[in-house]
Amino acid sequence: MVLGRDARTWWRHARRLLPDRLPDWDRLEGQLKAFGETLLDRRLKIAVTGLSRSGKTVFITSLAHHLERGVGLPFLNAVADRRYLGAVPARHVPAGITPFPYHAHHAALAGEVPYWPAASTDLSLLRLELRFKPRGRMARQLGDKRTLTLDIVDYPGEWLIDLPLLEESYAGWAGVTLGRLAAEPYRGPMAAFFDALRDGDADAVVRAYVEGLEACRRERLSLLQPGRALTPTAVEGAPEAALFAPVPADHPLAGRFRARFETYVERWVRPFKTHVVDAVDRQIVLVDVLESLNRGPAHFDDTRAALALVLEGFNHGRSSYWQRLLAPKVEKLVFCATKADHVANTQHANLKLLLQDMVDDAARRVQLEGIPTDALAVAALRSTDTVRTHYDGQLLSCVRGVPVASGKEKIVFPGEVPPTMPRGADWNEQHFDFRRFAPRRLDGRQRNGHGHIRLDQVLEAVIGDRLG
Amino acid sequence: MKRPFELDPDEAVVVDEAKPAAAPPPPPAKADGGGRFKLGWWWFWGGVALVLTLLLTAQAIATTAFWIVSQPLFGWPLALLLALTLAVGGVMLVREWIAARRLGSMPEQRADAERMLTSELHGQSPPLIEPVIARIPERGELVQRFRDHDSDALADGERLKLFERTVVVGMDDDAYKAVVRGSRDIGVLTAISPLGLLDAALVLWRTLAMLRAIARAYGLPMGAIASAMLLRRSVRNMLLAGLADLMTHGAADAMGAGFLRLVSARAGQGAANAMLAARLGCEAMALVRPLPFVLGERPSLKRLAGRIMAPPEKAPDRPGDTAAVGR
Repeated sequence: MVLGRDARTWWRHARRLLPDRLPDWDRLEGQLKAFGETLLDRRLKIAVTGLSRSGKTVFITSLAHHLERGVGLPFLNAVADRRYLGAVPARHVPAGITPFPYHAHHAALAGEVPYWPAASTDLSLLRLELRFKPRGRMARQLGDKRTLTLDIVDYPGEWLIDLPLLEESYAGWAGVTLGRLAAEPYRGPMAAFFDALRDGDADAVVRAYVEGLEACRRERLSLLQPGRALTPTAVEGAPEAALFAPVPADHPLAGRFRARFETYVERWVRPFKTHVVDAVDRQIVLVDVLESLNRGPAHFDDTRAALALVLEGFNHGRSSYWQRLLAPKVEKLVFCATKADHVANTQHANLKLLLQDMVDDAARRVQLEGIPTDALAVAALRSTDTVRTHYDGQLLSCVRGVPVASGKEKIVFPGEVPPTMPRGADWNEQHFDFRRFAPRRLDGRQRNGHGHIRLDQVLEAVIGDRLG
Repeated sequence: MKRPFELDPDEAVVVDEAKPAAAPPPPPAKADGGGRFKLGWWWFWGGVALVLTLLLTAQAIATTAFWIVSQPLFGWPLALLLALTLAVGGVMLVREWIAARRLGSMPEQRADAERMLTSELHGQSPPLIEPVIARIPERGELVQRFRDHDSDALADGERLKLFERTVVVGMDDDAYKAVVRGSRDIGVLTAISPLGLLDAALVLWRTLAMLRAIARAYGLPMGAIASAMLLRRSVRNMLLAGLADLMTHGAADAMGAGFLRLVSARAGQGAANAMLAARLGCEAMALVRPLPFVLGERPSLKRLAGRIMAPPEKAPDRPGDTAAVGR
């Protein structure tokens, strides 16, 4: 302590001499600690990846809630072995990154009248310090308790869609994007943009394009670039001045938009890729499969294409200790079909199969790098129960909960989840009506695993090996 | 495909939610490690014993009838004694039979569980789990832990894994303790016994006691016949499958035993006997465990050797410590 105090004083004096060259003590201390933890393999960065509205914020909040208390996670081996002691959210995160508003989101879910927290609009980090007893006898001799610092990165799902821009030129991107926007399901929401393209100035074109992207997002479409157009607080200044729209090569605005495109990629996308995406050790990919079934084949294909594009941006592969220090790769990947509580438990197997079908292209590419992938049907916060009901002469498994639309408890049969992508008439005969349910209270006193579905299995797959 | 619909909870006819969906009985499967406990020669010797018992019983009844007729004051008490003996004997026989049958069904039950571990269906695991729970009323704390975490969202395979990690691993701890205690007893007793013949009797006595304790840890009642069946099967498995394990993990201990033998032949023999008994106990654990090993690792001599040789006061008794050592 004395040495620390002396060093702090000495550093303060040194900073007075070289204020621009030396960082402040807290920052230096944090960096040294982080470096030490990385050297000892006691730090892990997890990306909770998902397209917009896939449930990332609730997933991270519920995950932190359960890790903090160490209860209700029977499939996490450290908990089953009674070695897990709990977690503490760190008060400070590295400078320049917003702390994940865990307490605010937790209050929203754990309040008297719980409600779904708002989606993320900016990059944030939740740092948890996980305390556990080591498993091996030798490790126990070295220390009774051990800490693993878990960094969970949250960001708007829209930003991920920008990653492919790094590999593209403006002309190439504009050509492909215009082709996509001219076809269904984008053509309708983008009609005003194509009108503006004919005779509008740059601001009008960008404004029409951003409005079109917002309309597409309301239709729950995913391939929307540039992603920051949908999270305007993440762009400095007026969006019209910083953003761009796809225009044909011979359009008068092509030159101006090319310059903005290049600035956007260098100013926003590359730092995001370098400092966030490339620094990830493990990845959880959340997919709202049920919403895709609700929306139809075009949405289903759109989500599938978007997921494949997003995952291409991540650097998957096995890495040795030294590679982990210098250039980490994503060495574990779990695909999760979220909101599994919105269907009866008997449908979970099909939900998992459908998820595997949906992410097949992306999963195969990752598996080629030697990374085994896993797929699970999960619910970070369970909002319904499964009940079996007689209806129309049949005994059917339904869910009982409070749909957001009606606000009253109902027993709902939302349709049967097919094991593979539905074809032909299955889409057109209104076989799917998966509802949104109001959340149940995230109860801190609940010691069992009833508050979620398979959250502990996700954790075991992603961080289980580092709690040994 | 059924179309979506919505009902008010008051209008709906909800079937009992706690009751699992009816499921067809699992098809018979080939058991692990060579199938069911085959009775084989036991039938022959059992038959001989039954015939002898029947003959003796008939003779006793005839003799008692004779005494009742000739000396009623002596005959009636004798008849009462005979009836009491037959009743007690009958009850013991039935219990032996039940114990032997339960033990005989374990490999099949384990094979069913193994097949179900990857199942994503619902409703087939309770028929496997509930009979095990019914046999361990004294492990209420473990069962409550399982019940707390059991959820209708869990598929059959997941529920079996949950049962293993909440209940069966606790049973493993007790079984490990029984093996350590039994092996240590055998080691010490054979080291201090003065006669070779006494060694054999002591080893048999403590081995059977150890096997009964292991079976009790897994909620299986053990009679004499079931104990003998388990002993026979454990020895056979140990000799067939466990030789490699014994050679690998027991090499260091055998060398230690060799060194000890130089110092003291009796002590060396005691250490070797303890290791053999521990190996036997490991086999017995694998044979009477209701589920295959998934989270819990298959018992091996390597994991036990240190604890057997440790002084008794160092052997951990708290569940957490035992779990850490046991796995």
